[in-house]
Amino acid sequence: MAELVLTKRMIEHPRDSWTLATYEETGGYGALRQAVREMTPEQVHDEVKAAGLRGRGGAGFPTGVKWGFLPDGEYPRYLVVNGDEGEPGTFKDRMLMERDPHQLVEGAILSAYAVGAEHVFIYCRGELRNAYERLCRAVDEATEKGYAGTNVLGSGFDVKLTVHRAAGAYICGEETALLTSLEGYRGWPRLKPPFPAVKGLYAGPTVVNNVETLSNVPWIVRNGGAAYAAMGTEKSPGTRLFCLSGHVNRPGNYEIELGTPFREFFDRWGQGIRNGERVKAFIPGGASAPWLDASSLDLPMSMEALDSVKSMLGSGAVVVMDETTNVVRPVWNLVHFFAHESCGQCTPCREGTTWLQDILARIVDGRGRREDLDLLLDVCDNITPGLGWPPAQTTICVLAPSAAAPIWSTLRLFRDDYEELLPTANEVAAGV
Amino acid sequence: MTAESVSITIDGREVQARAGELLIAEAERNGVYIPRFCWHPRLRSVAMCRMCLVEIEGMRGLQPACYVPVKEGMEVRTQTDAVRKVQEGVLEYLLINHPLDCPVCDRGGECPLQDHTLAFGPGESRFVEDKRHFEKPIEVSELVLLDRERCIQCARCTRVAAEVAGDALIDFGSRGNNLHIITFPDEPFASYFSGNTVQVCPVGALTAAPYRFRARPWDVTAVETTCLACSVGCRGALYETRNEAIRLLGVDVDCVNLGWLCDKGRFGYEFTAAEDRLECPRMDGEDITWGEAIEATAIAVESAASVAAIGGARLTNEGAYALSKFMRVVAGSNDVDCQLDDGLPARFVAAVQDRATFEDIDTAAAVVLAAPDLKEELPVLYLRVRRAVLDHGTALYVAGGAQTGLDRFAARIAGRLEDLDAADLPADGDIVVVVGRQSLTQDPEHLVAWASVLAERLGGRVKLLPVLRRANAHGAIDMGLAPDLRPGRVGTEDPTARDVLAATWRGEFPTEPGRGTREILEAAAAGEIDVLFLVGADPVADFPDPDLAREALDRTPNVIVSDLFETPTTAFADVLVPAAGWGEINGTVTNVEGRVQRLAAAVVPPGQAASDSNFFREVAERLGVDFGCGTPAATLAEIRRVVPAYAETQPSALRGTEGKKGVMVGPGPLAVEAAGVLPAPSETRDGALAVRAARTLYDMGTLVSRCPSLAQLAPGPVVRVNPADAQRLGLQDGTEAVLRPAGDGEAATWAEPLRRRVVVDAGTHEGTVFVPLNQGDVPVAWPPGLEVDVEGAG
Repeated sequence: MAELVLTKRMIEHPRDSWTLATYEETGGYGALRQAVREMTPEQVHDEVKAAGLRGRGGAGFPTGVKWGFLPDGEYPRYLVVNGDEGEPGTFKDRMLMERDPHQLVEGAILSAYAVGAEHVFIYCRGELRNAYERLCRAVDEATEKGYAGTNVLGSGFDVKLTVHRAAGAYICGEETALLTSLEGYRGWPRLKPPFPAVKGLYAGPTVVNNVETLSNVPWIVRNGGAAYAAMGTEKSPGTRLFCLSGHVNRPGNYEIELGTPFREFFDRWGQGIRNGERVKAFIPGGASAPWLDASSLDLPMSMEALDSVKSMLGSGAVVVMDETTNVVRPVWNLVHFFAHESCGQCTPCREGTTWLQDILARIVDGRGRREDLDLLLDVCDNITPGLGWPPAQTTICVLAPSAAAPIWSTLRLFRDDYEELLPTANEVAAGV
Repeated sequence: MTAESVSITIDGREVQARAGELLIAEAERNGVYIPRFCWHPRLRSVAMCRMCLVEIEGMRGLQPACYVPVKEGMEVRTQTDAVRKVQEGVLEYLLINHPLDCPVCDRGGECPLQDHTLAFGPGESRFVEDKRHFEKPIEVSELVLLDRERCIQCARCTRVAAEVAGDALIDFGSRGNNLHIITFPDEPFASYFSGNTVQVCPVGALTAAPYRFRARPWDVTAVETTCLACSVGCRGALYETRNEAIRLLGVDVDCVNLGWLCDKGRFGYEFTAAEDRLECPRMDGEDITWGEAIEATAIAVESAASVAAIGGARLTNEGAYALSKFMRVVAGSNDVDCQLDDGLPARFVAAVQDRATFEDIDTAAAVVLAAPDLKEELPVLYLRVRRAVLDHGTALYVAGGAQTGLDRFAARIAGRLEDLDAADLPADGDIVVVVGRQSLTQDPEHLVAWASVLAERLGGRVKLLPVLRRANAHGAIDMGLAPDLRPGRVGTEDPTARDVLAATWRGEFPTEPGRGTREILEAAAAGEIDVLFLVGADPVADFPDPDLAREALDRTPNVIVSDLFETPTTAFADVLVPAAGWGEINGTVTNVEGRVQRLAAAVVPPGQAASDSNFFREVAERLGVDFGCGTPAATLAEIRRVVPAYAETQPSALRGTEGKKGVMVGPGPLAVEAAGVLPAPSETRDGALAVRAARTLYDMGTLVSRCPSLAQLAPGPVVRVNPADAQRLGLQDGTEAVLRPAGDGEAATWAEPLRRRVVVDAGTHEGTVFVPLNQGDVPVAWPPGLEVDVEGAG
């Protein structure tokens, strides 16, 4: 069992892990002190690259590589922390923000140092009031103590941190929508190129990183990138925080080493399936991920393993359903979520997600038609042509393909569940 | 600005395209139409509708052709199965919530959604759910109605409002499937350019109140014409059904209007159908025949020692030429003036050699506005200057005290003209100086003297654009409707021009400069004018000294008026003839740049209304003069002969695709002479406020008040006051103020003080008040330099 990178402090100090005193007593801000006094920004960047850290927001892009996309010599630059966690089944960033805000703040300052950002914006989901207040307090405390602000720890490095409380739209977790929203406009995803690294916040070079991603950085700086890379798998190093929910006996947030098989995760951390049932289906990585069935239980929880079965670890939300489940209703639930959260910009998403939701609602309500199943697939296909993975898209962002993924993946694996809900010929004739 | 040409391949065919331009535009230039809804060539790409997705070699997935710039070697496929499937998909999506009420929709028959569905759509819908419903229609403004069920959320209207007009008063509300267009609470879409949103709407979601349910596309015929609501000369297509003008749409011409119209222009056709049009000639209030009117006029002219004419700025070039020729050849008088002492010295306008075109504004380093608020008086020119400032980085300078819709973008605002000198302007690049009368109280001689000095100091980098507001005022001046000019921007004294004219104008004509409007009226008031022609002119309402105008008309034995409607002036007419106007006559007009464009008739004039050319020709023939000018074409041919600057205005040059640009008039022989040293500006009296008396786009003028859609939009009798002045004078917003000329009446005397409602407005310069003209109250005199004392009425 690997060391806990993210959650050690909150497990060992459950009552006050979020306070500055506890954070400092447990070595907090040591990495920052070490970095600004002994390391160049390039050296910090190199450690993150060496760690092989990959983004924890969904796409899993290597963090060090992303930082390298900033164009040389263009300032001011911004670091934006994406704390707009809002996908169904996801609740890990919330815990990191609420229970260890200083870890995030230190990670953000270290990362700003590495990329040369003078201003960090922490974009916190509006509903998470406790997280927001603790982050504000952590930023104030860090600034007061000289960890942030002008001349950080006497190093000459200046960085300002601003916590922004978002208004609760899921789409603002999409990085370009987040930036647009942060600028004060309607939170609509932007056309790319230009990418945020080139023209992001206020048209300046911008790095957008997830809360969990940056919370790893203090540990990496303290222990070295190689120590981090020694955990997990070659292509998915380190640990990850997974949000386990559904029909397991003990749902919750668990930090586990990447590469652990799903079966072991469900049995050991989730303590098995409720009522001794067997797993029928599971969502391996958030509402946007194509679903898997029991045949994938021995798959290791790594990004490359999920790639091989055309799904993803995504946002780290793992939802388990046992054999008593008809999948159509939970699929409808997810599609309803995406339709509700569509920004409305692109035609296929604005019209398509609601249409999909309406068809599913009809099927769940016992008013489905046999042709609806192919219709669902074709409506999905017009959103994400080919129904493949990673998804093709006819829209600006990936929200609509995300809404399609649960549908086409379950229609492949669990078509019987859909057919079971269709009225029989007699019922149709009787108009029931 | 010629872009590099690159080779790209579209559907296997190699074509030439301009590097960096959008693929959708370059494909279209090469004959490949990629379907689209949200993309519009005059708006920024948003790539929202997803209709223009195509395959591009080397790029992952499908790409929006409206967002991808063309590069050398690009290989594009627009017809593959994948592309067609997505096109069918997008159309199906767009139609699932569309009400499909085409049979009762204004757009039916000319609807991009219909057309695209036919060409690219799936044929039938698989949608069996409930459609989304909204309350409809919603009045987003007095002129525009919104049907949110028909809307396909393409953001064209919101972009027109925000990007083009700068009036971001409509936007999207809600999100996702409920996304819909809204206005801000209690704030209508009050934009001078709101009608453009209707024109760019790709469905029938936005409809214009005056056109709604009036016609179907197959019931209408259109002619391409030129708007005459002001002197910008926007290209438009005028639609007619059953001899009624029902719609004007903007025609996109790069060098003129970029496809836009202001609402006054767009809905200004309504006057043609007004109930109270003059339809029959009258004498002393009684209906007479045209023959009697001609006879009476001829007798009056024949026996007159002194004939004068005011007006002509609303005529076509042909009409203005006929009036000019009539006055010189038949009446033997140079007492003609198309302006009402409310514009610029005609001689200056005619003498500008390096006249700026609209396109010069696009590339200028700086634009100086020493002109009225373009937004109020020349709205589509305002759009172009705004675009230059915001998109091309043109520096803007505002001088002379007019507040303008562009003030907030100005690099510098000089309250007085003298406060802006050549040294204040950019040291490099071309500079366009727009010169126009900012207020009736502004001394026009001073304005043009300042402009001439500035021009001299800037040397070859400067181009002047003298602007007169009225319709075809520039054409009228070109046709010689000024006391010291002849047709062709030449002085009355010019012997060469006289010889050219003499070959065509048989008979004698005077060479001494005549009298302008003020002198004509003064002479008339002294009983020295026997016959006064008023051609589309209303001096009682529009001349800055209404008492003088009334007295002049009262004392003139023969006042002969040609107009469309009764006006305060027509009450003085001895002979009143009904004129045919815009939309009813053919001809040409010349815009503020000197661009000659075609005016086309769409409807037959009401009753016996006829063109002014006819009237003057008939009177001339009755007096035994072989006048010519039998048709607009014949008149234009004669103009080409006698006016060298108009030599290129062959009918063929004004028609077809090339003809959309019109023909630019060359300069005449006159030149602007620098005025030398400027007189020092006068100081304001203690406590008094300088007056800016000028037009707003909507007023209660003769034509606007006959357009039901526009008549309601005038601001009414208000006075705009700077907050600091309002506080000093104890004036509250919305209360009544009393304005009296300051001093001892040396500048002006008003029989009654002016009572107007106060609008406290930070845009009005401190120490001045703005009085919009023609707002329904009794006109008063506006002498140069007028200052007023203002106090609360309470």
